[in-house]
Amino acid sequence: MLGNDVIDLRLAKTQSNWKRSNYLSKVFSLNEQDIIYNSDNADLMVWLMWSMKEAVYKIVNRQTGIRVYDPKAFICGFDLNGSKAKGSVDYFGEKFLTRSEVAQNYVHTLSFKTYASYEKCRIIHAKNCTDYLTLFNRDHNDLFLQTDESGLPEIFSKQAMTHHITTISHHGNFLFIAYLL
Amino acid sequence: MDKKEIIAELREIVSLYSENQDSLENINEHTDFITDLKINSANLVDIVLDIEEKFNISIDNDSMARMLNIKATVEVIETKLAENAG
Repeated sequence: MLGNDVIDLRLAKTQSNWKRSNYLSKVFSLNEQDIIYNSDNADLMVWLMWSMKEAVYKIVNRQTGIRVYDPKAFICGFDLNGSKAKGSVDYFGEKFLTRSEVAQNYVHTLSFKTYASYEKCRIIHAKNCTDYLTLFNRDHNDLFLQTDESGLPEIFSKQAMTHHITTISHHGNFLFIAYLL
Repeated sequence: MDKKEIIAELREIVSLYSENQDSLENINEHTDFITDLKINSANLVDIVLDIEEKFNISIDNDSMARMLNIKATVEVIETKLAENAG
């Protein structure tokens, strides 16, 4: 199982004001708020942890079919080293793993249950646009991006005739598609 | 405050965060913040905070977890207003 989430950092700056009173306490645990307040780059900490929570929510939503808006229930821990963050997220005692990439203008997080699935994962990074599906299918000979019977994204490999679990996230200028081989 | 009045107030709040004019105009109990109004999840927090200010109520995590559409949100507001009145 796989989930992902990208945040366009420039767009996030204009769309959201996390410095608003009570904002952080609705989303982050006290521990997570400490991480934000003690960082030189509070903005990045907010969006890094936000993308971790979102990416893991996507797996939980896919597993259970349940929709909730409970960001505080996803408890983040991570180790940020340069532009990469290795993390884990606890959701009511269930543990998920994350890998995040921090670039100048975006944060992208991939979430998974086991390292085995992480190793079998491919990530495609493209420019976000409304007809990305058409463009993706035009630019990839073997891969066909579509939705399965339950409306979830999947990639179909025309040569191997195999279906692959796929997760898509787009925000602002950025589009990330990840799938399991 | 009846359901209609609450929905009218909600329309005003969510219009700050949605650019989907069609869905905003036709807002009703079944309108979903994410799938219909295309509101991004970081702005859902703003909506919850705006509702707290506007209705002078305090929304706990469990209530916030349900607030993905107008119907559930109206229910939360009605419950909290009733608690305040009591």
